[in-house]
Amino acid sequence: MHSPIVDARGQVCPMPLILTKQAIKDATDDAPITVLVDNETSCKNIERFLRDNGMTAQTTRDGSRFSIRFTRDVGEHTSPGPSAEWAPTGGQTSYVVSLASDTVGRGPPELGAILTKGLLETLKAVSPAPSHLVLYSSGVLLAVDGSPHADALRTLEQRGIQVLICGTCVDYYGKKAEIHVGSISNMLTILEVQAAAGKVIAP
Amino acid sequence: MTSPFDLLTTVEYGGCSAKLAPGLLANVLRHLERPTHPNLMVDISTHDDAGVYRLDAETALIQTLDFFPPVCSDGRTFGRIAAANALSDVFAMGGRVLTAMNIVGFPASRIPLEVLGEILAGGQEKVSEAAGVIVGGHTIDDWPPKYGLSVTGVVHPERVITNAGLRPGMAMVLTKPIGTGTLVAGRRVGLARDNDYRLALAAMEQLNLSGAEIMQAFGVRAGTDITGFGLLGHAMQMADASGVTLRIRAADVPLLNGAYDLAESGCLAGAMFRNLDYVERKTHFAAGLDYSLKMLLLDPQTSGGLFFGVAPEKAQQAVQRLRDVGYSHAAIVGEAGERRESSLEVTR
Repeated sequence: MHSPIVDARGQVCPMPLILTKQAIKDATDDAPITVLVDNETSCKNIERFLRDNGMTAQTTRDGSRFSIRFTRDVGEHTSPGPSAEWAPTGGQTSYVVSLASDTVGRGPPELGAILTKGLLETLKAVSPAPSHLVLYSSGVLLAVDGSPHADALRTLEQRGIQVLICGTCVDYYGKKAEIHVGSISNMLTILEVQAAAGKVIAP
Repeated sequence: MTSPFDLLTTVEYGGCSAKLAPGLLANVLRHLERPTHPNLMVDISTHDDAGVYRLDAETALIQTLDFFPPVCSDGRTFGRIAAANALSDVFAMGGRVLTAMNIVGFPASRIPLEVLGEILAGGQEKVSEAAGVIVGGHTIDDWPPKYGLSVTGVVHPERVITNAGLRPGMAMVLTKPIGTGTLVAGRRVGLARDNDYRLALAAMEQLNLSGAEIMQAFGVRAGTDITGFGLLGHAMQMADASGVTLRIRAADVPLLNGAYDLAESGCLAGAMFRNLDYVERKTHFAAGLDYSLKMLLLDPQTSGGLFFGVAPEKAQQAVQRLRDVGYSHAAIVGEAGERRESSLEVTR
């Protein structure tokens, strides 16, 4: 298999995205594609584009150089076309994990914190991965800056799991400025994602 | 005559793409005391296009200003577009233009002075077309060049058109096609077709003057013009200011020729993603909505069209009038409903 490398360093926006899209279109098999860029905004926009179109990206950073590696989505939708927002990432029945609290279970808070850590670590390795992780009520606190779980959430996101965070809850806690992982979302989207999923797991 | 100096070489972001991110600005403004005055009819709180100050029972003053770096190569066209864009804020409030002043940043040592002459001549053309008068201006040495206007207009205090006037049931009309940001970005990377790009420039040069007159003729009280936040960004500001939910039918939104193909090829400007961040937590996108189309609804417009709410039984007639006077893409693109959880619902 031929693994294409797109060198978009030194190119102005939106050239890196155009080259990425071209590489997706030209790919003849599902070998991973690597895109090199040298500015953070381009990198973020490409990651967002891939995520929105159901593709999973892994980014490594070396100073101001970014290497974005992803596998072309070979699902039924060719190139982006119709949005794959609610589509499962694999061919299997999709599922969603929903956390309504910053501690898992109803035991003592210490145990709950340990279980939360274990759950998020384990989710990284579970196959198939859930399509979405939904955080609401005090669950949103897992995502704020300085939370011991923010990094784990970031990793899940990099693996293509969409992390949806309840906007009303974030506003309630006054933490909007402190959230830098996941997408802040609304109740309608959160309900639709769960309704469309094959299963919802609420540990 | 086209000037030999290519203004587009001076900028990475032009037009309304050059706007500071809305979230950043809001964070700063939050710490300032908001001015209040009994005669201040429209202030910054509703994200309106201009301030409106009542002078007496018959007259309210509209004040606004707008300026940005080049969006095109030649000075004359840039001048026209920047002026049309600045004048538009008066039209979006339902008013007419009285006077304007030039706002200019120009690096005299790096660009031939004739280019400045062309920019100002382009601006003057548009102010005259709007039946206004240029009464002065201010120029500083600056890089990259920037041009715009400070504009003063008037409106009857009872005929002010604001973001806050939408009511459930109103039909939403858009007067110009979407896609100027994408065509300009596509031009910069050599992907936009010449003819498509020329039509985009023409759309940006077109004044919203007649559109404003038609809004008044149809008794419109809720409207704005579409600029840097894209159709959905401005629609969200209107929905929130009015306390309604707006439903936008993506397939009905008129697009500039070539814009969709450019978006499909991956020509998605960074400002689209910024606008997506701005609207997404208050917007519900229908499943299966075409991705390129969704992103175009977030395309930052320079000198974009008017977007307004009108009684549904009059909407078709308003669209026909708009088309008759030269807004050939005018269309009904959605409607206002009772407030639900999201500010916007975007359907296919």
